[in-house]
Parts: sequence; C-alpha cells; structure tokens
Amino acid sequence: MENRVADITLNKDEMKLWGSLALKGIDNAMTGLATMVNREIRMSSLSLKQVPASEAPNLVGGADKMVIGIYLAFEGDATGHLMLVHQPDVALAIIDMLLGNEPGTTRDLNEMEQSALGEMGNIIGSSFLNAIADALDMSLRPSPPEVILDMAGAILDVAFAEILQQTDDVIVAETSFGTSDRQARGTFLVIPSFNFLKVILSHAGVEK
Amino acid sequence: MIAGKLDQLQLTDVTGVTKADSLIAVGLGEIRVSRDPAAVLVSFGLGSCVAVCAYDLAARVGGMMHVVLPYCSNKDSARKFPGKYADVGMPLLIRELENHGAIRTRMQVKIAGGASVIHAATFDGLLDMGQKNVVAVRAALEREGIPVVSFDTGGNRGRSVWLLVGTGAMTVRTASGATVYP
Repeated sequence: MENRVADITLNKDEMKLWGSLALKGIDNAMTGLATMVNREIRMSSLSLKQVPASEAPNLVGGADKMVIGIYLAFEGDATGHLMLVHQPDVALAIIDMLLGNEPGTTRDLNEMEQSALGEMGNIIGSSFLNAIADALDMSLRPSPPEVILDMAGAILDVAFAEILQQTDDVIVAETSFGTSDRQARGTFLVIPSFNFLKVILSHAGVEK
Repeated sequence: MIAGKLDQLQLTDVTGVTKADSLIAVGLGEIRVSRDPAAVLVSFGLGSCVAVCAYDLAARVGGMMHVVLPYCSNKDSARKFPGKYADVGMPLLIRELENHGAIRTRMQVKIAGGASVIHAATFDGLLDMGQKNVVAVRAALEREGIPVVSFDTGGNRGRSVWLLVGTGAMTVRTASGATVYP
C-alpha cells in the first residue's frame, strides 16, 4: 500500500550486513582523512542504532548543543545523509591542523576556515561513498558540503524530515574518530534513508 | 553558513524557563499538553521543524506540537507520532487541549521554527522544508479558526522554544540571543 509507514527494523543478518558495509565505508573515509592531514587517525568501534523519531536529535549529545557540523547529502542509486560533528573549539583545532597553522591560531569561522572544513567533509564523504558504491557496484554522489555552526538538532532536521516521510524510526551508524593525541576529534554520522537500506539489502541478496 | 566569532556561542541564559519545576520535553512528532500552570513545554534544536504552542489562558491549559513535515498522505503514518504532520496533527492538538479543559474559542497559538539551516546541497523535495512547514501550520490553524498571535519563523538559525503553560509566554532562543513573546 502506498505511503504506509515502512518498518525499517533490520534483522540480525541485515544489521550485520549494514554494519559491515558502513565499516568498510568509514574505514576508507578515515584512510582518506589520514592521507589528507598526514597523521594517524584512530576510530572508536562503530555503533549501529535504530531510534524512534522523537529521540533522534539526541544522537549527538543533545538537540540544542552548539556544534560545528559538516553536512553532506548523497544521491544516486540510493539517498542518505552524512554529517561530521565537532565541538566548536575542537573544530578550530582541526582547522589549524588542516591549514598547517600553530595550534591555537584559528579563532573564527570565516570563509577560509569553512572551506577547509568543507574540504575535509568532501574527502571523508566521497571516500565513504566510494567504498560502499564499489562494494555494491552502484553509483552514489555526494552533495557539496555545508559547514554550519548551530544547534545539532537544527542541522539534522532536514535529514530526519526526509527519513520520517517513510518511517517512524531513524537508523544511524556512528563512530568517533581522532588523531592519536586527541587534538582533533569528532563524530561521524551516517543516516541512510529507507530506500538506501532497501537497495543495499537487495543488492546483497537479502530480501527486505 | 554562519561565519563569525565563536564567542557568540554562549547561548543566552534563559534560566527563568529552563529551571522550571516541571519541564516537559516535546520530541519530533510529539504532542504534549499540560494543565499545570507551573509547567514549561520545550522543543530543543528546531531547524526546519515547527513548534506550535497553543493555550487557553482561562483554563490554564497549554500544549505544544513538534511538526516535522507539512502534509500527511496516509493517516496510518501519524499513529505513533501524531504531531509529525502539520495537517493531521493540528486537530489532534486541539482535541487534546479540549480533553484537558480548554475551550476552542479561547485558544491562541504562537509558532516558532521553520528555518533553512541547510540551504543548498539537498534533494529537491527537501528544499524549503521549513517554509513548507510554516505554510502548512498556518493553513491548518486557519481551517480550525484559531488565531496566530505571535510567530518567530523562517531565517537560517536553529531555535529552541519554550511555552509557559501558566502565562502563554513563548521564549525562543537561537545562537544569537533569546526573545520572549509574552
């Protein structure tokens, strides 16, 4: 029936499959980041969650927490949303690292600083999507990144709006990452839309 | 994109509302109604979403609905989160207020939210989602014949919104300050 609320609950095998794909993508993304900043990047274990709509904005430590978010949408054979979330002071440290400045140099978020973060979003987003697209032989294209300083929930609202058109739950893959000295760290969120989950599961031969 | 100094980051102190004895959080797609005059309803971190604050001062009943999307194409999908859609949510919000003793002809509404925090770079259907939500909320209120007495909508900043049930005052906080709509 058209427009019924879809149940996106994944069974154990499907969750495993989604997890291994997400991991493959995130691994590639972190390799891309390490190459870009020429540092070792460590990541925490991947967390896969399914949360009801009402609680989704709490994923990043509170809906009204001020963060610097680097947001990309993707489309192609499937759609979804990627976001890097940083505490504002940590984002400034990352900008110093990206621009080769002494730590503590960057204090403001102007055009150059935003474009440095945007470039990092490009690298991470396209490495992530390429790994998944290659694994499934499909095409996924990232949008240009947007660098936004605002409440975490407000940045993610549009992503949730897309997903909640079809379901009541949001599926998220989340990992935190950083340099070994923890000077630069952040959270990487992958929010696939319902069609993305359907596509990857059917590609992999699991019926949904 | 928001450029500028990070010392703007200190969110304005709204202790008066955030330290209320009875703070009721209203999540995405939820409707919450209270008849406790000391209660404060709150939606945190609204981007394209809209908070609809409705109250009847005489009955001291207030409610908040956290709208995510403008129109619902199938009522099934509103069962779990009745406030998800502006069009089907509005009658439910009003019914819930009435169930708590409010009278429709005395009801007033304040709305906040509907920003475009992410403006480029997204799918066609999601463009101007904030504006679509505001239009749908206003249309639904017009159908119900309930006046909008204050609004704080649009723009490109996220908002947190509080409604004081006892006074009907709405407080809106963004990264650049707080405004009270008494």
